[in-house]
Amino acid sequence: MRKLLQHYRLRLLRKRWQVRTIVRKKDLTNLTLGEAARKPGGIFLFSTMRNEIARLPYFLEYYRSLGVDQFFIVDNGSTDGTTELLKAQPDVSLWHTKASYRRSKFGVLWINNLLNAYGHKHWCLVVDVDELFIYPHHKTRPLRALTDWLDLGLISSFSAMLIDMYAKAPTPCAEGQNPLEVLTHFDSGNYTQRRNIRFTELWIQGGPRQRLFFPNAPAKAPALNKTPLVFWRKHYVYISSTHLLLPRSLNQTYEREGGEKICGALLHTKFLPDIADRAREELKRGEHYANSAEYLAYSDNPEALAQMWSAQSTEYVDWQQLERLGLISTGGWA
Amino acid sequence: MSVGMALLVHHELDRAAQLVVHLQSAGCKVAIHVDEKVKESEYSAFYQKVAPLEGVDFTPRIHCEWGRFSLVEAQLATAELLVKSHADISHVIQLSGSCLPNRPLPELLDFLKSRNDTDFIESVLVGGVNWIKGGLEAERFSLYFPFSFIKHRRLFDAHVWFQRKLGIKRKLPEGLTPHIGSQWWALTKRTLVAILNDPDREKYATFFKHCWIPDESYFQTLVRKHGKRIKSRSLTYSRFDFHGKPMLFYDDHARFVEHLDSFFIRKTWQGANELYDKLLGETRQAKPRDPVIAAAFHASFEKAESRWLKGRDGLFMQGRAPRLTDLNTATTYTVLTGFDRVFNNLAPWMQKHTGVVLHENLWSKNKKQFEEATRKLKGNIGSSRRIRDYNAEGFLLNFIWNHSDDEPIFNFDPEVSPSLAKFISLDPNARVFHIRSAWLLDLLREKSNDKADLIARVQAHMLKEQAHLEALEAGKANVQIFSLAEVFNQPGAVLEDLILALRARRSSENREIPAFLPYDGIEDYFERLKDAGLNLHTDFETSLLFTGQNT
Repeated sequence: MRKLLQHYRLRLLRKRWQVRTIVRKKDLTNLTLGEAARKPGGIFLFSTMRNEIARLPYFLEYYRSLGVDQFFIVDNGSTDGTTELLKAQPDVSLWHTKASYRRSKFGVLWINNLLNAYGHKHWCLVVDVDELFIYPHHKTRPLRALTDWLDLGLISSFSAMLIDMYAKAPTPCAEGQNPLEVLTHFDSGNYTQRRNIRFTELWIQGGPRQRLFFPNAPAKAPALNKTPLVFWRKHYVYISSTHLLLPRSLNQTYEREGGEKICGALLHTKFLPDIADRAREELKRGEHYANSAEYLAYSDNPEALAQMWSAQSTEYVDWQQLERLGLISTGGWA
Repeated sequence: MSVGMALLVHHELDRAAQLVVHLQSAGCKVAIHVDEKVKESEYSAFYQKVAPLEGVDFTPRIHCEWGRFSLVEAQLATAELLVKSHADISHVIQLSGSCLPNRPLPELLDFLKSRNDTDFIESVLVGGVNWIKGGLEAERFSLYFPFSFIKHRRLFDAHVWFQRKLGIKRKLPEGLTPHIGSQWWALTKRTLVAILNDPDREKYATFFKHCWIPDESYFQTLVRKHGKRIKSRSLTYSRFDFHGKPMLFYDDHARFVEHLDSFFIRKTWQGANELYDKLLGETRQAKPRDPVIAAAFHASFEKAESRWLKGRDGLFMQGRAPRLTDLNTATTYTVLTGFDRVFNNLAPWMQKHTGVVLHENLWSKNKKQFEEATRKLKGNIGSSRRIRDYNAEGFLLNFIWNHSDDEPIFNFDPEVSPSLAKFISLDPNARVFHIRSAWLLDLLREKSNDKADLIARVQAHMLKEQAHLEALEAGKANVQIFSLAEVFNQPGAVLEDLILALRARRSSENREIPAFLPYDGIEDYFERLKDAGLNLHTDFETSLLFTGQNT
């Protein structure tokens, strides 16, 4: 009986998020619609961005090479040429909005709208422009190989935790350059997890952000668990960035009996040298999660932001290295 | 002489067409069955591409469903077409549209030429060694399977359950012994003709129609009736994971495949361009098979499968969250309780004599000491005490995971972190060395004169220690308990025990003993507490051997 009640509550919650999503539909104005936007079986990427002209060229190149068929992008009032660049891409479908990022639950409601309109029965990848998605064998097998394999195993969601990348010493990153050439290091072994009962997700925290910006309030450190790749269906909703989904079974991207389920990572390239300026600007806008607590922590601690590297940091080599370290797993995909 | 290829095509018709062209140009005869489910437009494009080729024929299309007799019907149709239309074939090889030849075809033809009386078919007696991964075995024959596994899964399961309850046991037709094996066989024309012209063929068909996955048992069983010389081995390499899901080949397997001990591989991922180009290349050359390379390939599969099934001990990550009751840490580790109250500079001593880093202040409450301790840690763990204590179990698991190549060893005071103490007591990987009543030394050094307060504190310590020792006793950790008297009287023996338990054990000769921390007046102190009515466990009462003064 309790189970049934809980089930019903979650269902109501999911419906509420669906309504919220629909309400925010009016924010979006479609600018362009790519040819492949309705391609059956296409692999689609969804993203919200604002003023990302420096990262954008590499972002598009990277995901094209993985085999993304169409980009669905919400441009939240860019002023640096991002809009123009996106408009000129044949494989980008672009929406524009000047509405509040915060009120759309940090972009989630916008993305949910596009997912429902275009993503139904497609493999959908939801990433930020500073997240580079990697998975086992990504150098030799395109995204389609992964999704085909997941289809075969009746797996419909794929987790990829955030790994914050940082430089050994601040180095500038040119427009269009692979940010990983600059952000070469990461924390290899300081992540902890808790399993939450309500949504059955693993709440993962740790990494350099907890280490440097939340040493005295570790609970406030950002969540690193993400489920960015989902075989989407109309009744699904993201409810907190890509950390959480409903129905909650989609969050169960892990094994409970000792085995390892296949998983990848999002290499997080947020910490380029412009992060300090960005943090100041984002604080002024006040459009971010938890009253922009994260950006507050950055601006409170500029020394740490400039020196995230420590003698125990690990230099990134390849996915096999992450597999060995136990951050990702091939989970049966040989 | 030629060889017939019976090809079942279900999807990826472009890839199948490539394969047909390749087989045909090597001089093989090909009979193709295309699943009725395939769209008409796709089928006709495929047909137009390969039908004009000489020696390529099509059978009528039927609707195929995995696990059911329709697949056998398709196999029979292609085989029949081949033996009827080509008099000069020695063998018929069963293939699917997603198979690829991993060795050049001329090599296969040569191989079969010298074995023209041998049937290559995996055919294993049912009830013997487990051939099947995840599923029914003998019951495949003894129960009825009228429902579709794919479309009506619940009905399928319920029906199996119901028949088990009823104790239903179908009898095999006379003269057949149930055998099972891979459906990718290569049979001689003689055996096939015998199977096709068997007077009881209709009767067998009726029986196998109600069997589960008959394409893995029909030919495998009948070949035992008609075959002359059976090699129970498939010429096609295929592998299934523990869910019964076929493994796929990708471009990055290209350097391995030609070394596999087979002539075909299954299945190839449709997007594996490099693999298709290489294996269907016109002027294909292959190096001799190297079993070492094949072994490396098998090992990589076993590794991946073990990741999925077993995972890595002690690893907690996004894809692995075992229940804490099936606790496992990455490796054995050593927990020292009380040693830091007895010995001075034990860490440098241990470093010198064993090369092992003793993490003295891993659980320290003191900020400075802890920061000092974290400098020796790997993986950027433990940047602050708050982070450490925020998820102490997680911190411990990370510490052991990151240091599993070393010898994880640390000082630990169970009173400071009771929940962690419980965790350790339940872990079979923990080796606990506990000096009983070592907390007395702290009180002794305090030199407090408040007798009532002292007694209360001693009692509190005693109770906590008692509870901890009981938990250790009941738990799974490996525990050694020493008394204070033992440690002060025979420190060499105690340390010897400790060092012997380490992986990096060294010879015990000529090892000096690290200095004690001050413990003057301990007997006197102990006597006073004892006289005050406290039942302390120090062993001093029976072996008061050291050189103190009684009052």
